[in-house]
Parts: sequence; structure tokens; C-alpha cells
Amino acid sequence: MKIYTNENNTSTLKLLIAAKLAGKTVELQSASFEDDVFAGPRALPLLEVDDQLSFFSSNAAVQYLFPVLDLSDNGQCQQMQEWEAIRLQPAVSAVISAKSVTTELKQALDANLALVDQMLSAHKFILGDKLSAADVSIWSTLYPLHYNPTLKQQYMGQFKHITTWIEQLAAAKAIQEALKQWNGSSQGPFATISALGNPQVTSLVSPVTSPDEVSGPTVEEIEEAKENWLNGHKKLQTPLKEEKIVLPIKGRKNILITSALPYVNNVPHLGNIIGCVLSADIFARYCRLCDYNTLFICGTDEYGTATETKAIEEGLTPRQICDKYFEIHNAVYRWFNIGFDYFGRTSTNEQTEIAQKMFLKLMDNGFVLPQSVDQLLCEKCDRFLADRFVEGTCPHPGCLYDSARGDQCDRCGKLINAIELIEPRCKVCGHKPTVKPSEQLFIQLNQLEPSIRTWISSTSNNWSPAARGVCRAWLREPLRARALTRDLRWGVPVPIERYTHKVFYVWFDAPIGYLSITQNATKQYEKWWKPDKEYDVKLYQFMAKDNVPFHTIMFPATLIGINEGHLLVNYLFATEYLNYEEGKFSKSRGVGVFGTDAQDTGIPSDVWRFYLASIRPETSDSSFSWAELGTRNNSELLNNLGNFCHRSLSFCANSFKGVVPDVTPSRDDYELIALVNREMTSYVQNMEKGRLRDALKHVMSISRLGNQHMQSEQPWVLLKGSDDDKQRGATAIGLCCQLVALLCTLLAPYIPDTARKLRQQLNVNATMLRLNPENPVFFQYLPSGHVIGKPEPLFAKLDSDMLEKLKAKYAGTQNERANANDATNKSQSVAALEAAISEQGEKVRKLKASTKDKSVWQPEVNKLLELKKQLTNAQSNAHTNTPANTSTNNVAALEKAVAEQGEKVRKLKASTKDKSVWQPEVNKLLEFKKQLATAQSNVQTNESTNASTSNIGDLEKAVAEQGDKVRKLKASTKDKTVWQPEVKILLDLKKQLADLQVKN
Amino acid sequence: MCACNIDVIKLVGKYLNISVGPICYNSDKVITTVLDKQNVEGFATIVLRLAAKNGTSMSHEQMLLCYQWLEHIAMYSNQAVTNPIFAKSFLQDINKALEKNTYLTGQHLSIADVAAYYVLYCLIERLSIVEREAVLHVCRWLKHIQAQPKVCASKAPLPLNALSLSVLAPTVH
Repeated sequence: MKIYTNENNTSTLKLLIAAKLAGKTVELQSASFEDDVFAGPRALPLLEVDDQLSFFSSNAAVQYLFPVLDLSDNGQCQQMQEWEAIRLQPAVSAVISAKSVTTELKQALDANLALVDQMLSAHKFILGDKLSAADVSIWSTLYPLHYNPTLKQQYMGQFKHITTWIEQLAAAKAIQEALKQWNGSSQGPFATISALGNPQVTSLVSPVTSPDEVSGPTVEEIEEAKENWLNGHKKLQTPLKEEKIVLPIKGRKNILITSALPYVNNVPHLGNIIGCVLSADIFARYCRLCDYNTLFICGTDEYGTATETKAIEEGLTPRQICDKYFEIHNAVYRWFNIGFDYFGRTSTNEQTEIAQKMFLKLMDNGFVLPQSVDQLLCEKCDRFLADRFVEGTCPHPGCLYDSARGDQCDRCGKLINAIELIEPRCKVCGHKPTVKPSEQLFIQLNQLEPSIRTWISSTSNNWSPAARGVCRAWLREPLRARALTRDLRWGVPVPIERYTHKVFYVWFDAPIGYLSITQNATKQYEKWWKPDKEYDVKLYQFMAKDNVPFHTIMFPATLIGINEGHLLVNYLFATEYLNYEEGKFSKSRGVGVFGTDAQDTGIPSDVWRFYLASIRPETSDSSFSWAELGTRNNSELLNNLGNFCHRSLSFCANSFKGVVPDVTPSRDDYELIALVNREMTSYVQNMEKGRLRDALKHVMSISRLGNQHMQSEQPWVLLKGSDDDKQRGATAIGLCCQLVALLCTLLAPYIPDTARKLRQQLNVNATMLRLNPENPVFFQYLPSGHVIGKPEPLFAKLDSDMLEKLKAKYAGTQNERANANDATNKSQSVAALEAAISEQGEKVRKLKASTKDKSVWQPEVNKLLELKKQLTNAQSNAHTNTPANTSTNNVAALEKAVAEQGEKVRKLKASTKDKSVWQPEVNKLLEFKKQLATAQSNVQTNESTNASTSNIGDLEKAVAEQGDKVRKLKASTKDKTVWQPEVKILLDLKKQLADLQVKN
Repeated sequence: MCACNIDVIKLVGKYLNISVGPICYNSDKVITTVLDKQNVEGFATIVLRLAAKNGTSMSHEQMLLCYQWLEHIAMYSNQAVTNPIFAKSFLQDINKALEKNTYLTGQHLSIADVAAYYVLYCLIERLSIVEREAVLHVCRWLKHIQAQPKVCASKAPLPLNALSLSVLAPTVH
């Protein structure tokens, strides 16, 4: 037998010892991984028994050379050898070849050695009192650790039993001979055993697992699952008493949630909804589920130039605009089931009061200074132009976008000082404004900068990545003073002399809206916003990332400057942007799906909520797509969740009369419960960090686990089996029903309507379905003997055709959609067009008569041609409309039309031989004739059906008469020839009657 | 992803139509189960024990050949699953072994083949056609294994191009 080996390979030592012990002779031959000796994996040593048989695994070779003779061993020896190969050997070779040993690696090796030591403490050898292949393998692998003094001191010190065992074996003659033949050195370096390198130390890498089943639950997890399944419900926190006015409570977690105040002058689109209000709502519902004392407020941001612009556009006062759009916002959010504790607005007296008070305090503290600013004055409109009233070319080099707004460029996103705009123009009149100085008040952000930076570095770990990113970008440059006031009318007036005709800038005033809205909601806003130290109040703010600078820098700077212990944001969950079918949602251009549109589609709000939450742009921008909306509804809500809930509850209702069967979980069941617990832990962790999209994924995984469980248990089979099987079937159904209750709990923040329906079907109330965030575990939500309600399907399928239609309907901008409608209206007025054409025709004739200059009359001719084209379109529309009416209504009209048209054609043909002149008329005539024919045939079928109905009566009468006749004839004679003809007639009549009756 | 994990053991159990016991990872992250009231630890050991329990009889030599393959897979498959470059050399070695042999341990199907099939399945699945050509013998072997209905009962067969396989990598015997 031959052993191929590289130099100083401890695994080769295994083979030599085994051979010597068995008294077999082996020959060593040096080899490397590049040599052509391998018939499979390139591992050394390689034992070649003959040209048919070789072993590349040293452990298999050891067993071959030194077989286990005792068969009662039950594979123990092999088990230890496998352990040696996948645990001990990798750890030892990692330690002896590493330059520096990590603590983890040392711990891994220690654990392995401790195990061996423990085995040797009870017995002489690894597996008892007999020397086995396991001893040979482990001895050889540990050889360097024991015989290299440095390594021995470092690693083997505490393992006395191992030391004794190694030395005892080393005294054996076979081993001494083997060492001699091996001719290696305990000082290293040692050879690797495979061309693939040393195997990974498994305990240091997480096991590779399938996506569904992350390595099965550990024994500890299963024990925990069991304990919690039985006693988890006792660990639920005491429920929170519902108060009419929510104020902080001592000893509870108090959560104040705000979502960015939507600007009032437009209808919110889906991007706005998921970015702010929906995210905040999901989170608020989650908080209530955990019995956190939660106040969730929002409102419309109403002051500022945009409102004034809109008011001018619509010819209303700013107040009227606000009232109008406030209602729209309110209705949209109500439809989306956004459960605000209070939805207010910023144009209230409370707002004025609080904003003025805060401003004065800020001024007292010395952070407000006046400064003269050059502003754009439109002489034509006689007023200073607010940023939004002016447009021009973006001054930032590299951008130069030609319709940048006065405050921010839509293309590069950079903030702009309106007077820096290249080629500014007044948005109202288009006139070029002039620069005039005006005195404004500025907040000295530069003075507040150090405190802002300190505060941000202490708290920004709790913010979403988008929020941190935007904030960091802002802080790259030093902060500059920023104007607090401006020359406008619609806003909170500045409460100091000389400035009374000015109002606060909206960036200053809008975040104060949170305070004033809280005041409107609770009448004691300071309890929330200036909380007592003994109260645990945390502020959570939701927004899209464009709002981040105001919430992380300007507003906190204001509060820090005021220095009255106001609450600063603790958790800021900003989102990236949501795109619309790969384009951008845009309020100003009207691209995308708007809150009101979502309502018109007839798709339930829960489906929208679910879909929007599942594409929430948490880490990067994401896209809304109609097709995906359908897929998510059909595959996730309908097939995964809906299917599981409905199946589970239906089984319970049908097989157990609605009484939820008691669960006597087996080990497999506890394994499932442990897996569910893992998902729940992730759900809570993600939720608490504002990662709503990830949290939702974990809930859906629970539903998937439920489906898999149902599928693998097959309760429908079990319930027909033996008593044991029936018991298992009942447990399966019971467990599934409990899972439904759990899902109902966890999904309530996302799809509240569905959760309410499901609670009805489960026959439970919301207080039964709560969650302990400290101990998020699956326990028996439904008490023993609980009776459920009537199960019903929760979701309906969304058809792809319908979605295609919706996609087409909401393509383009809102204006384009409106124009498309107008166009169809216009085209209908054929008469108007005809009039326009004759007028234009006259004009063209005159022009042509007066001049030969083509450039003069050509534009008019083009106009004429365009009008004619519209007319033909309109006529063809009219055509398709009219025949449909006439054909059914009056054949007479058509006959008349045919006659008239015929006359016309005849005259035309008589007057000219130019076919191009009369052909169109002929075509019209033919068309009319065709229509007439159809109309007539329609009428005829109508008539014939009428006729036939009236005929039934006659036929019945005839049948009766004929029947009589036949009977009489038959009575009078037996001669068939006499009555047969009459019978035939009777049968015919009967057949006719039957036919008619079928038709009708 | 399949590696030497619980999934594969369960699939082997299904193949043998035998219960795999309460399988899980012990605190040392070694895959563990209980068979006949005895703790059984380690991927190779569990697979061989399941085969023995099912009544498969093997010569000592045959058993050792099975063991060495199972051990090899247990040592390296996790790394192969996480590291596609490593996977290449890992598969190359197996390809080499299957150049001369129909099955891993010779000319007869063994439990090592079945277990290895479930482990290698996803390694091959994620390869492109060109990459698969580099390990043609593995693909041919995979196709042989999945021709057994028992193997495919719990996992859909991997679609492999049949024509080029029979021409380029004909069965050895």
C-alpha cells in the first residue's frame, strides 16, 4: 500500500499509526496537489490500496487500516472521527497556521479540547477502555499542540486528561515507529490537507441555510417556545386605559408621533401618503398594539406663498383655498384609514400665539438679528416677489435648469437665493423684476451650530439612513444665518414694531404647527413638548427626505435657541422617494396616482396600504407599478395570507362547529412555534427602528410558515384517520387558528379594515390581540373552548386587464388627462367647426387675393387645413354615433336619408364627370343603404318575435281543436288511413307550439 | 440554499422513507438528532445511520467510501455555497472523481450519492450553461440520480440539457 503525502502533514501521521497498530506495511511517497495522482478530491495524504481502491479521507483510511472490530460500537467511532474532521482539525490547523489567534478561535478550540478532556476523564481512551481509530485520529491532530512547547503552554495547560492520554499513547511502540517513519517536526510549518485549503471553523461562521428555514431552531429556542406557548399570555402588559385626551403618563412609554404636515394647496399623491402619513399611522397603530401611550398628530400646512399663488389661480381668498383643500386632505386620509388622534391645521389662533411667543423668546435670547436683503420687486405687480413667485435659470454651474424656482431647483435639488437666479421672471406677469433692498429678521444659525452638531451626533443613530444622509450632507458646510420673515400677507404676523406688515417664513412657522396642533388636540401641549423629567416621552417624526433639513437642523436650532427644554426629535424616520412606473410622482406637474384617484379605482384601501407599505422606499428609491400592485395582492394577500386564514377558520367551523380545538403540541409543533417566534422578534426589532417594510416581510413569513404547516400536516387526511391521527389533525387546526389570531394582531397596523373583519370572524376584540414588545412570542391568543364566528374570504383577486386599464387611465399628467376629455367634447360640436372653417376659408381667400407672399397666407392655410382635419374627425365620430341610434329607432329616418342622398348623387353625377367629386357621396349613400338594411332586419326580428308570442295563443287553440277532431275520428272508426292524416296535422301543430315556447 | 443542513437530512429521510427524528443544531452548531434513543451527531454519521436503519447493507469498504464522501461534503459544502469561486474548485474535484466512475463510490448508487445530490443541487442550479460544461460529469451524474422517482418526489429535477450530456459525457460502464 502506498501513501502519497506532502511534508509534515499530521494527517499522514494518522495513517502511519493505524498501519503500525494493524501490523501493515505502507510506503510513503512524496506528492503535491499539482501532481497527477488524484482520481477525485485533491487531498493529502492519499492512501492507495490498489489501482481500484484509494482513500482521500485520512479518517476513512485510518478506519480501513485499523478497523473497528467491536460491532456494538454503533458508529460511535465514526461519529468521533467526523467530529474530528469538521470541528477539531479545522480549529487546530487554524491555530497552528495563524499569525495571530482571535479570541473567538481560541474559544472554539478550547471548547473542542474541553470535550475531549471530559471524555478522557471518565475512560482510558476516547470511546472507553479500548483503543480505536478515533484515538488515532485525534492523537495525531493534537500532536503539534502537545509537542510544541509554546503551543502547549498556550492551549493545553488546563487539559490534564488529554496530556496524560497523549503521553501514554506516545509510549506505545507502534506510535514511536510511526513517528520515525513520518519524520516530521512538531515545530511546523505544517502541510494543508487539501487543495481546497483547511475547512472553515464551523462554529465561527453562521450555518448556511435555506431562505425559508434559517437553520432549524436550537434546543434552547424550542424550550423557550414551549414555556411561552403555555405561559406567554401571562407576560402581557396591563392594557392601557383609553382616554379622551391623550396626555403623557408616568411610568409608561409615551410616544408622540408626527407626520410631516402636507402642504395644503394640492391633493396628496401616493408618494406623499407612504412617505408621511401612512408610515406614521402604521407605526402609531403598532405602538397602540404594544400599549404605548401614543399621540399621533398631523395637519395641513397652510401659510405661505404657495397658498397665495393658488388663491390667485383659482380666484379665491387664501382662507377659502385652505378650507377647500383641508377638506380634500381630510377625506383622502380618512379613506386611507389614517388614524390620527387629531388632524389639525396651521392657520389657527393657537399657531399665531405659540409661534409669536417662541419667536420673541428666540429674540430675547439674542439669536435674531435684522439684516437688509436685496429682494426682487416686480414693478408691474407692485410687490416684492416671494421665492415661489419667481422663476429663472438655476445659477449652479453644471445645472443651469431654465425653470428653477426661486427657493430650490427642481433638477439639481440645491437651494437657491432668488436674486441669484439668472434671467429671473415674475411668475404672475412674466415681467423681469428689479432688485430692491428690504429689511428682514435672521436667525443666527452660525451661533447655534456647535450645539446643533453636538445634539445631532448624540441622537442621529436612531434615525433612518436617509435622514442621516441628508443631514450629514447639510453639515458639510458651515451653517449661515437664515431669514425668519418675509414680505407677504398670508401668514403669522411678526409681533414687533416696524415688521408688522411682514409674516414668518413658512419653514419657521410650519414645524411650530406640531405644537399648535397638539395644543388643539389636548389643550396642554406643554405636557408633551416640554415634558417633566420624570415622564418618558419620545418624539417620532415621519417624513420624506426633502423635509429632513427642516426637522434636523432648522427646527431643532430654533428650539435649542429658545432654550426652554423643548422636546427634540428622538427618532426620525425619513423615506427616500417613490417613483411612478419608473417616472417621478409630481404634485406640481400632476404625474402619478393621487389620493382621490386611489379611491376611484375601487381597490380597497387596505390593499393600497399593504402594497405601499411593501414598497416603502426605506433604503433606496422604489417604484409604484400597477402590475406589481396586482401581483402583490394576488400572491401575497390572496394566496398567502387570505388563503391561510380562510382555510384555517373554515376547517375549524366545518369540522369542529367553530370551537377552536385544543392544541397539544408535539416537538415538531414547538419547532414551528420557535420559528414563528424568530419572525416575531425580527418584526418587533424592525418596527422599533421604523423599518416598516422589513417588519411586514416577517409577518408574511409567518403566514407562509402557517401554509407550509397546513400543507405538511394535511389535517383533512388526519381527521379521517385513527384516534391518534384525529388528535394530531385537531392540533394542526387549533395551531393554525391561533396563528390566524397572531397574524391578525401583527397585521392590524398595516391593514386595519381587514384586521377588524378578521377579528369578527375570530370573534375576539382588539384588547385580546395585543403584543408584548419586550417578549414578542407566539402564545395561545384564543382561550380554550373559544368559539369563532363565520369565516369569510378576506381578499378578492385583482384582474390584470383592469390594472392595464387603470395604468392607461392614469398615464401622463393630470392636465393631459383633462385635455383628453376636453378634446372629445370639442370634437362633438361639428357645427361650430363648420362655421370656423367657412370663416377661415373666407379669410384665406381674401389674403390670397390681396398678396402673393406665401409666408403671409401660409399660416392661415395651415390653420384651415387643421380645422378641416378636426371636422372630418368630428364627423366620423358623429357617424359612428348616429347610425347606432337611427337603426334601432327609426327606419323611416334612414329611408328618408337614403332618398335624399340618392337625389344628391344623381344631381352630382349629372353635373360633373369628375369621379372624385361624387364618389364620396356615393359611398355615403351606400353606407346609408347598408344601415337601412340592418335597421330593417332588426325591426323584422323584433316583429317576428312579437308575432310569435301572439301566435302561441292561436297555436294552443288550434292544437286543442285538432286534438278534439282526432279523438272523435278515432272513436268513430278504426281505419287508420282515415285518422292518420289528422294525427299528423296535430303532431305538426304540437311541434310548432313547442318550438315557439322554447324560443320565448 | 442547500448545504449540509437540516433540509438535506430531511430530504434523505424522505428518500429512505424513514423518520429523521427531532433534528436540530446543538449548542456547538453540529447537526444533531436522536435515533433509537441515541444522540447522533454529524452530517455523515446521521446519513449513514439512517441508511443502516433503513436496512441498507454495505460492505465495510463500501461504507468507508460512502463515509469519506460524506465527510468531504460536510467539510467543504458550506464554504462552496457561500463562495462561488470556491465552489468551482470544489465541483472540479468531484467532477474528476466522476470521470472514471458512474457514481461517487464506484459503479453502484449509494446513499452518499443521494445525500450529495441534495447538497450539490443548488450549486449546479446557479451555474450558467458554460459553467456547467466545465463540470459535465457532475451534471451527468446529477441526471442519473434524479432519474429515480424517489429522489424527485420531494425536489423537482434540475433541468439539464440531455443531448449534449449523453454525447459529451457518456456513462462510464
